[in-house]
Amino acid sequence: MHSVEISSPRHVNKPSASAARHPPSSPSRPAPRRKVREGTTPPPPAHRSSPSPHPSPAPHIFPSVPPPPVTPRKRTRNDSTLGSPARSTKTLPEHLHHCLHAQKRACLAALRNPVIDYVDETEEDIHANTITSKQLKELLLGTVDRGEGNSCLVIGPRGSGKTRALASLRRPPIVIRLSGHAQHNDRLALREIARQLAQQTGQTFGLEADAEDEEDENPFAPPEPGLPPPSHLPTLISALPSLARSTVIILESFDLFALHGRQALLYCLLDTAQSCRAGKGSKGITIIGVTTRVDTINLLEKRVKSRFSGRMLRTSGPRHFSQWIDIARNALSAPIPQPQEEWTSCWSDAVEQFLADRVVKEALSDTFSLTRDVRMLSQILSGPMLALSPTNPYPTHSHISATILTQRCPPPFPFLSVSSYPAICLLIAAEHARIGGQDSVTFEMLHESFRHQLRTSQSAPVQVDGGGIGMAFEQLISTRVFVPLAAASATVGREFVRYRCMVEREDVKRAVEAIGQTNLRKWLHKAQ
Amino acid sequence: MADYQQHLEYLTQDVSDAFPGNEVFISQLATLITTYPPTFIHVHDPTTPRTTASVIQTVLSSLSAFDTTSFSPDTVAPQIAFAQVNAVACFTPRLLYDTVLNKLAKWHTRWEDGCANWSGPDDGIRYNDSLDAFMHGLRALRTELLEGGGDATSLRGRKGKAKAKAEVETKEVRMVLVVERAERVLNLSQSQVDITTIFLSDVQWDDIKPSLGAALDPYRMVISPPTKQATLQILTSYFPTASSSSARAHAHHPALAPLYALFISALHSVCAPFTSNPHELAYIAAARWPGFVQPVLDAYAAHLSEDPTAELAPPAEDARMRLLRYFTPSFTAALESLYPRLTHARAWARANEGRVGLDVPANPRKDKGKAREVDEGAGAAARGLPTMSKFVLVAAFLASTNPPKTDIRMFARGRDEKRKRRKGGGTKKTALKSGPAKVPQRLLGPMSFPLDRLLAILAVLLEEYDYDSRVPGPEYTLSGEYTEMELYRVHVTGAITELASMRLLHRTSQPDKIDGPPTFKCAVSYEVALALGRDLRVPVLDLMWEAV
Amino acid sequence: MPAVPDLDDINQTVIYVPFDEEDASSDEHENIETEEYGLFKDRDISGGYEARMDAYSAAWNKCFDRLQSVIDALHAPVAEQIIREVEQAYDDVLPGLPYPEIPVISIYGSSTGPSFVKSVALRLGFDPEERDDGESSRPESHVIHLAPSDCPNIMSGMKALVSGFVERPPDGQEVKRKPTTSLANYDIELLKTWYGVLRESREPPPQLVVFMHDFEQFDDSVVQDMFYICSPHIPQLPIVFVLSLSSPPSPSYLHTVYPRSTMSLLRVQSFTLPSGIEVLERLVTETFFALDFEPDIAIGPSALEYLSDFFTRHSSSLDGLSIILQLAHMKHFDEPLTIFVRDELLGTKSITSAAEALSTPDCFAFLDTLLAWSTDPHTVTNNTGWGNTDVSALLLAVREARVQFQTKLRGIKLAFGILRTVQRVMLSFGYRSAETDKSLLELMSAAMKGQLEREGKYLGMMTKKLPADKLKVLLEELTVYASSVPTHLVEDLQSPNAVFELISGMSDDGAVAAATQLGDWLTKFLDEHIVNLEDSHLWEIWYTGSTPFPSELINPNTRASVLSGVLNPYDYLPEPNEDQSIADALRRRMMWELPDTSILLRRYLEAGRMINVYDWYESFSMAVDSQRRHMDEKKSLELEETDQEGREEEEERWKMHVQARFIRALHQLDFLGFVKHTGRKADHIVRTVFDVPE
Repeated sequence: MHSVEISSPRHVNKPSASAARHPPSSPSRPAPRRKVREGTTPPPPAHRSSPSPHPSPAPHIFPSVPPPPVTPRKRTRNDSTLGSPARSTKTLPEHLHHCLHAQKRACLAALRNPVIDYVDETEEDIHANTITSKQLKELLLGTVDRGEGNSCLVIGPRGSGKTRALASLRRPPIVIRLSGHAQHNDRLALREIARQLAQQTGQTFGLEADAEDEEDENPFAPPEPGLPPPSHLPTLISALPSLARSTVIILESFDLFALHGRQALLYCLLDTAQSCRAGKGSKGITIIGVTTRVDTINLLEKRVKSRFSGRMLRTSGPRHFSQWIDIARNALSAPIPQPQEEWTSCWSDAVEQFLADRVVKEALSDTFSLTRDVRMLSQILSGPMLALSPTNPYPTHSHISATILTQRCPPPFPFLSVSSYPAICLLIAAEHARIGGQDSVTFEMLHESFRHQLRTSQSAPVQVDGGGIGMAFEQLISTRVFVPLAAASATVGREFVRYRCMVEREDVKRAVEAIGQTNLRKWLHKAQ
Repeated sequence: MADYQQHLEYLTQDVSDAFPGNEVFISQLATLITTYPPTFIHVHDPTTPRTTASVIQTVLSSLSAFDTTSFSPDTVAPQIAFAQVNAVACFTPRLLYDTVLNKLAKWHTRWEDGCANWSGPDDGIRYNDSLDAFMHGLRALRTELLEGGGDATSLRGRKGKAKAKAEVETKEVRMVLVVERAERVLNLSQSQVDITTIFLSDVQWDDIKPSLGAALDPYRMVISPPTKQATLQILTSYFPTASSSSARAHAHHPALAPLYALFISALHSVCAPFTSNPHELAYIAAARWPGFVQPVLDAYAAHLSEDPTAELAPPAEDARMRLLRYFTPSFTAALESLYPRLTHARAWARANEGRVGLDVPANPRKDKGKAREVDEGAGAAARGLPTMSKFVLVAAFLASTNPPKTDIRMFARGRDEKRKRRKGGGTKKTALKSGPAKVPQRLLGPMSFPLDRLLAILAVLLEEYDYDSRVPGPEYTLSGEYTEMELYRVHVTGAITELASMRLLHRTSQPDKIDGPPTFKCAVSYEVALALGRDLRVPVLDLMWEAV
Repeated sequence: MPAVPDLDDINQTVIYVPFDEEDASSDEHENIETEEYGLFKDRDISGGYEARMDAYSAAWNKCFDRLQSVIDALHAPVAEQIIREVEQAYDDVLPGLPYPEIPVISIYGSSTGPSFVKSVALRLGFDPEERDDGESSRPESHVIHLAPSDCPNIMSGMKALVSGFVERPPDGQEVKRKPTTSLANYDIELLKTWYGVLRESREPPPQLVVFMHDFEQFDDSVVQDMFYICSPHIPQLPIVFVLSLSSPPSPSYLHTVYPRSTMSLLRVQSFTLPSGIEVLERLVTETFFALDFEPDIAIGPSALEYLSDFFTRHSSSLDGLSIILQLAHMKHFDEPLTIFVRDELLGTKSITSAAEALSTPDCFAFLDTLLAWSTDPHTVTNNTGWGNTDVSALLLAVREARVQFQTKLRGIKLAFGILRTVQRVMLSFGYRSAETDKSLLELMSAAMKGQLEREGKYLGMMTKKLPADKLKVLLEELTVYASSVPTHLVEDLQSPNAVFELISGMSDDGAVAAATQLGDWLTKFLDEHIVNLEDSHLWEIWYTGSTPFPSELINPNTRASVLSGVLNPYDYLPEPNEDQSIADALRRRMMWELPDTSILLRRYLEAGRMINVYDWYESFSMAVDSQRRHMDEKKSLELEETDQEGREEEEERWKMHVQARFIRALHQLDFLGFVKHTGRKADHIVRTVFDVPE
C-alpha cells in the first residue's frame, strides 16, 4: 500500500510513517508484509519503460546525515516518473545506491557464515545440533569447573555445522586446534601443540629451539629434522593437565589422526584425558574429535578405543525445507547500517518475492534434496547478490538459476562450443575412433583419420597444417578433454601417448552444430 | 573525503577498459573482494588463463592501492593485502610460503641484509618450514597489518602504533591469496585464518579436488572465452604507439591506427578458426604488420622526398583493399609457421618484410605446403647424419614398426621372397578385418626392440642396399661375411648410442642393466624414415609389414 | 679426464682407460718383452725410433695447427652471429608482441665441433678482472653453464640456475644469508634481488647467459618448468639461454619434444654448425692442396679414401677426422727412413758427421734399404761395406730427392688448382659435361696417382672450342688464380703467366687461335705436372702413398677380435718359451693345448642353440683329461707306485679340480658375453654367438 502512495505525489508524509510502522524486515513475522503485497497494484507498463531523467545530484551522498524532511517530496516527485522503486526492476534512484551496496555487503557477509538457529517447533523434534551444543557445553563445564578429563567425538556430514557447534562454545581457557589435514604426522602435531601452548600460556616448551638450526633447503623431506622426536610425546601431553588452566584440544578431521603411525598421539591424548581424575590438582582436559566419518570409532586401535569415552555427539544439516528457506531468508535480509526505511521495505519485499518465486523455490528444493550443505546454499545465493546493481537492484530467479548452473553442477566442458576448428576435428576423429572400437587414441591416429577425411572429401575449408592441429590437441589436453592413460615417460613420443576422450558424443554433436559447418557435420554423421 | 563506492566504480570501469570482455568478472571480483568474499574461490578459465591472471592482478593491486584512511570513516573500506603466486613457480612448499608472506607484507628483500624474508614482529621465527608455521605467519601478519595500518614495514613508530590500535576495531583487513596454475598445488584453503584463497586454473575444480574432502567446495567462477568483439579490442590495444625514431617505429605511427584496425579484423577472420587466443593472434599480427605497412611507408617516403612537410596519412580506400587482397594469403602462411613457433615473430617479420610480402602466391595450395615442409625437413635430416646412422635409423624404424614375427618373411634374402613378402603382408591384413579395426603400428607408436634385432635388420639392409658402395677386402670370402664384420665395428655401436643421446632413438632399457641386450625404440617420424630411405635408396614402404 | 672413467656414461661412445703402472707390472704381463716398439727393427738404426718420434710430433703439430686454423676459419662466421645475437637479444624486439619472450639460441650439430660452444662461451664470458675497465662496448654478460646432471628435478635445476649467478656477489663483498629465514637459494626472487644490485652498479646492465650443454639429455619436464618460471621475469632479468644440441636441425628436437605452451614462451633463434662432406673437402684442400702451406708429409690416396669413407659413413666429427690424420702420420713414421723427413743431418751439424754416424755396422741394413730405394732397382748394389764418401753421397741423394719430390708435389697442387678452376668456369658456363664422376677427394687421389690425363685432355678440348667471350672469362679466372700463386713457387715451376699474356693481345678474330693455344697449353701443363708421386725417388719418406690405412685401430670389430682371441690365443700371446719358430707359433693347436676358456668356447661353438651345462662340463672334462694325459707323457713320471686308494682320492681331487676350472672358464665366457641365461630351462644356457667364420 505504501508503494501506491509513493507513486502518487499527493500525500507525501504518509509513506515515512507507514514505513516506520514496519520495522526493518524480520523473517519471524511475515504477516503484515503479505498484506502489503496484496495492496500493491502494478504500475502501468508505460511507466516502467520510461527512461529515468533523474539528474544525478552531488557526485556522492553522505548517508550518515539523515535526509531532511523535504527530501521525500522531491524524491517522490522524481520517482513518480519511473514507477514505484519497490516493483521496478529497471533502475534504482541515485540516493538508494549506497543502500544497495550496503545491502550487498551485508548479505554477502551473512552468506559467508550464515547464522543458523534451528527453531525447533515441537519438543519431540529437536534438531541434533541443539542437543549437541548443549551436551558440549556440559562437557566443557565439567572440564573447566570440575577439572574432569573428557573426550568426545562430534560426527556429522560436511557443512552440517560441526565446527560451528564448537565455535558456539564459550571460550575455555586453553584451546588447541589441530587439523588432520595440516598435521600429517605426530611430530607436526606435537610441534603445533607446543606452539599454541606457547602462544596461550606464554611459556615455551623447548620445542621451537631446535626448529631453528636446520640448514637444509627442503625441510619437508621426512623425517622432519627440526621436530621433536616422538619420545617427547608422552611428556608433553601428560604435562597438559598440570597446566595452570584446563585445556581443550580440538582435533578437526579426527579420522586422519587415526591414520598416524601407531596412533601414538591419540593414545597419549585419550590416555591423559582418561587418567586425569577430578580434583588432585589437575585442571582437566577435553579432547574433542571432529569428523565426517561415521565409522571413525572403528578406526581406533583397541588400546586407543578403550581409553576413549565413547561419547559421540551428532550434528546434521537442516532437516526441513522450511529451515532451508529460513536460512536463506536470514541471510538475504541481513540488516544494514544506517537503514533507510524506504529501502528496507523495498528490499524485504523483493526478498519475499524472490523466495516466493516458483522457479527459486524449485531451485532451492532441488538443491536441498541434493545436499544439505549450508555452504552450498550460500554459494548459490551469493550469485544473485553479486548480480545486483543499480540497473537491476533486486534478486531474480534468472540469476539464481544461472548461479546454480555454475555452482552446483557445472557443465564439464563449457568451452567446447567455441573451440577452434582443429579442436572440433580432433573431437570428431576421436568419435570415429570410439565407434571403431578404439577407446584409447594417440594423436597420430586422430591426425591420420583427419588426413583421410581431408583426402576423401575435399571440403575442409582451410588446411590444418603447420602443426596447428597438434597445437589444438595440446590445448585439449591441458583442459583435460583428453586424459592420458599412463604417466608420461621420456621414451614415448608426444604424438604416441595414449589418451581417452572425455567428451560424450552428444557434446561433440552440440559443438559441431555450434561451429555450424556442414562438412564437419557430415563427417561426424559418418560415425554411426 | 571520496566515496568509496564511487572509487570502486571508477576502478572497475578502468580495468574493464583495459581488459575488454571481462566486465562482469571484474565487477563481481571487485565486489567480492571489497565486501565479504567466500574463503575459497576457484576461477576456471580454459582459454585465456594468462589474461585472466593479469586481470586479477590489476584489480587486486589497484584495490590494495587505495588509501583506506582517506575515506569517510563510516564507509567500511577494507584494506586489501594480496599475494599472487604461481603454483609452478613455487615448486616447493617453502617457496610458496616465502613468496606469499613477502608479497602479502609488501616486503622487498634486500641483498645487503642477506635477502631476509619478512619475519613478523619478532625476528628469528621461521614461517616457511611447515603448513602450521605458515599459518602462524599469516596470523602474525594479519595482526601486524591491523596494527601497522598498511605497510608491513611499520615505520610509523610508537605513535602510529597507538593510533592504529585505536582504529583496530573499525579497520578491516582482507588478505587475498591468488594461485595461478592451481592444478599443480595441493590446496591450503582450509585454515583458521581469515584469508581468501583464489585458485586460477584452466582445469575444472572437480579435476583438481584433493581427496578426503581436504578442501571446502570453492565458489566457482567461470571465464567464458573472449567474444570476437572483445578479441578485436584486445588486439587493437596491442597496437604500440612507439614514437621512437627507429625505422620500424614508423610502422606504428598513430596515423596508421585505422589501417591497423582493418588489418586486425582481416587477420582475425582468417586465423580465428584456428586459434581464438588473443595472444596468439597478437603475435601473428605483430609479425605480419611491418611487412603489411611497408608499401604505405614506401609511398610515404616517396611522397616525402618531393614534399618534406608531408604528414603520414592512412592510405585511401582502394589502396587498403589492394593491400588486403595482397596480404590475405600470407596470413595463413604466417599462422602456419608462427602458431607452432616453427620460427619466431621477428625472424618471420624480417623474412617477409616489405616487397617480399607481395609475391606470396595468390592462393597457396593446401597440401603443397605440408609436402614441401616435410621434404625439406627430412632432407635436412638426411644431410645431417652419416650414412651408417641413417641406416641404423631406417632399421630402427622398421624394427619398431614391423611385428618381430614377420622379420623372417620380410627380410629373408633372395629376390623371389620379395613377391611372397608383399603378398604375405596383404593376406595378413585382410585376415585381420574382424573385431575392432586394426590400427597400423606406425600410428600406435614404435615398439621397443632389442639391440640384436636392430643389428640383424641392419645387416640385411647393409647387405642388400649398401653392398655396392663398399669394396670388400680380399680376406672376405663368404657371402655376407664382410657385412658381418662391418656390423660389429665399434663405430656402429657408437652410432647407435650417439643416436640415442640425440633422442633420435629412445633407449628403453636402463643404461646400467648389463645382462641381456639393451632395448631401443625408434624416435623418428614416419615421414623422416621415408625420406631417409629415399636418401639411401632403401624401399622402406616395401619393407614395412603393413602396407600404407 | 677423471682418474676412474665413468663407464656408465651413455654419451661416451669410446672410453679411454689410462695406462697404469702397477697394473702393467702385475704378473700376467711379465713375459711380454718391453723393448721399444718398431715394425722394421731389423733395418733400423739405434736411436732411430726417438728421432723419428720427434720428427713425427713436429710434422703432426704443423699439420694440426693448420687444421685447427682452418676449422676456426670455418666456424668464425657462426660464432660472430651467435655473439651478436646474444648481445642484442634485448635490443631489437619486435613491437606489438603480447608478452616478452625469452631469447633462446640453439646451436645444432655442436657434436661436430665440441670445442666450439666453449669458445663462444669464453668470448661472451665476463671475468671479474677486466670488469672494471668501463670501455667495454657490448653489455658484459654473466655466463653460467648447466649440465644435464645439474637438473634431475626442478628444485636442483633452479638451484643451479640461481646460485650459479648469485654465488658471484654483485658488489664484491659477500653477504651472509641465513639459510632458514631468508630467500631459498632456488628462489628466482633471490636472483632478482641480486640482479637489482647489479643493475645499479653497472652500465650498461649486464646480461645473464645460461649455457645448457647436451640439451637433449635434460629432462624436458624440468626444463619446461624452468622456462615457465623465468618467463614472467623476462624484461627485468635479461636472461639468454644458449642450448647446444648435438642432433641435426631437423627434425627439430625442440619442436618434437617441447609442447607449444613452452615454445610460445621462447624466441628460438637457431644456428647450425657447418657439417658434412663440404667441411671435409675444404679441410683437406686447404691443408694438403693449398699452395701457401706445405706439410712435412703428404697424405696418400688410401688414407684420403679411408678418411672420406669414414667421415661420410661413420662419424662426421672433426675430432675423428684429425685423429685419422694423426694416425696416418704415426704409421708413416714407422718407416726408418722417415728420419730424413726434414733433413738428412740426423741431428748432427753436417752431412759428413751424419755420414760418420751412419757408417757403423749396425746401420748397414738401414743404408741398404736407403740405397735400394734411392737408386733405380736395376742398378746393382754392392754389399761390400760402406765408405764414408758414398754414405754422404747417399745423403746428398736424399736431399736431392727431397727437392725433387717437393717440386713435383707443388706442381701437382698447382695443376690441380688450375684444373679445378677451369672445371668451375666450365660448369659456370653450364657445360655439364665438364663435371667428373669423381668426388673432390677422389680427384685428389687421382691427381697424386697421376691419373688425370683424361680429365686434362677433355678440359683442354673444351677450352679449344670456347667462344671468345667465354674464353676471356676463363682467362681472367686463370690469371686471378695464377696471381694467387706464391712467388717462391712461380720460379721453380715454369709459370703459366706466359700463356696468360695473350689475354691482352687477343682480338676476336684471334680468339680461335688463342683458344687452341690455351687448350694445348692446358693439356700439356696438366699432363706434365700431374704425375704419380710414387715414381719419384725415396717417396716413402715424404708420402704415405697407397700403403693401406690401419683402419682396425680406428674402427675395430671388438666382437670378432674377442672371438678369435679366445679361439686361438696363441696368435696373440707370445710363447713363454722362445726357442720355437714362428711357424710353430702359428700352427693350429690341438684342443688339449689350449687354455680352458678356449676349450670351453670351442665346445660351445659345436653345440646347438641351447647348451646343457652338464654336457658341456662332460665334454670339457674329456678335453682336460686328454690334456692331463699329454702332460703326464711329457714329464714321464710313473704312476704305478701310488697305490689304489691313493689313486682314488687322487681322482676325487682331480674331479674337483676340473670342476673348478670349468666354473672359472664358464664365468669368463659369461663376462665376455657369450652366455645368455635362460630363466625357463634349468641348467641350460643360450648361445649368443652363432656361425663363426673359422
